[in-house]
Amino acid sequence: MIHERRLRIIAGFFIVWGCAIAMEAVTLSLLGGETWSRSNHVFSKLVFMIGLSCQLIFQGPSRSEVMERLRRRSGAEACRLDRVYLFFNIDRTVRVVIVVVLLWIVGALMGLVNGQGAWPLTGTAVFLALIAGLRTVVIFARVSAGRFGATQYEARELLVFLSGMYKSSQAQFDPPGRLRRLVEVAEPVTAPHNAQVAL
Amino acid sequence: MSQPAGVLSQPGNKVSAAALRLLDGLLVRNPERTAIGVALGVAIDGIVGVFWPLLASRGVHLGRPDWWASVSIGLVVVHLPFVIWSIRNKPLINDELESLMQLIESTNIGEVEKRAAYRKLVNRCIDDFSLSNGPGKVKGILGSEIEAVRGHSD
Repeated sequence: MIHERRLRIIAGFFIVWGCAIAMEAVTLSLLGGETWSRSNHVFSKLVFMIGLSCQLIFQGPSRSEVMERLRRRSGAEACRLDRVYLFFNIDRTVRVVIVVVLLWIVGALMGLVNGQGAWPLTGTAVFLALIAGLRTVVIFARVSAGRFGATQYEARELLVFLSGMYKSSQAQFDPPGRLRRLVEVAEPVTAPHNAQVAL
Repeated sequence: MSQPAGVLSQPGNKVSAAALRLLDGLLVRNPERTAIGVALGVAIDGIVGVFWPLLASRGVHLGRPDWWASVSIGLVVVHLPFVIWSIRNKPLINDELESLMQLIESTNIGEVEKRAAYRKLVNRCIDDFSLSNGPGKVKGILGSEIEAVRGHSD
């Protein structure tokens, strides 16, 4: 599985390079030599940036690969759906932050080259990274307290995640053991709202 | 973290649940797509920056758009599937699960019972996905679950 993933990453990287070179050839033929040299190869640079961002984000481990890692690291007993969701989101956030740092570097370079455009792009990148990081912290806190998946919104998130996990790897869904259920948190039983009003 | 620590108080639980929804709203539910959208916006800004003087020299004066307009276009483009889904108003999972969740939400039970009901629903789906060899079994189990909740609510 790891070998296959490495091959996928290398192939993806070559595809990005190929697309950037193809873009250079197309712009040269469309714009002509003089305009092409004045364009500062901006098209191939942008294709490369977008391609690299997509490569970084979408080449992450799949849901079932995250589950497999978690099972190896923490044992089958700890392999609960909410924890798999948490670790999958941590991985995604790290990738998003890497892309955002890439954008920040581009913004800084733009600022160095033409003296403008650095701060808005840097600000957007930092804001995005902060929100993504904060989201992961909130999920971590809720999963740690055993409260994640107990609202309509979160239950829907978990079920969408579960169905995506099942669809992406039907043959290897849960070897060697079952995915664990959410932990039932012992909570004091409360009377329904209308009963309280009646009392 | 194998066992829940149970450190969230009742207000903390509500605040963190609301914060998660708010953050998901800011990231339009998908941080990856949002990051790609910003990168695409930067690319659009760069391309417009190249073509803008060329068009101006040929007498087409469109004006130079701001960077945030390009980023907004990039964000809309990458989230287009989600926008279309919202317009069509299709359920994220399937009709039975959606109606079951609506039923739990609208039933007049306490907060703790609602939380237990959501956990039970997710756990039933985990059991079904883990033990069955095909996806066809989900409907049957959910059907009985709906009946059970309807019976309680009646």
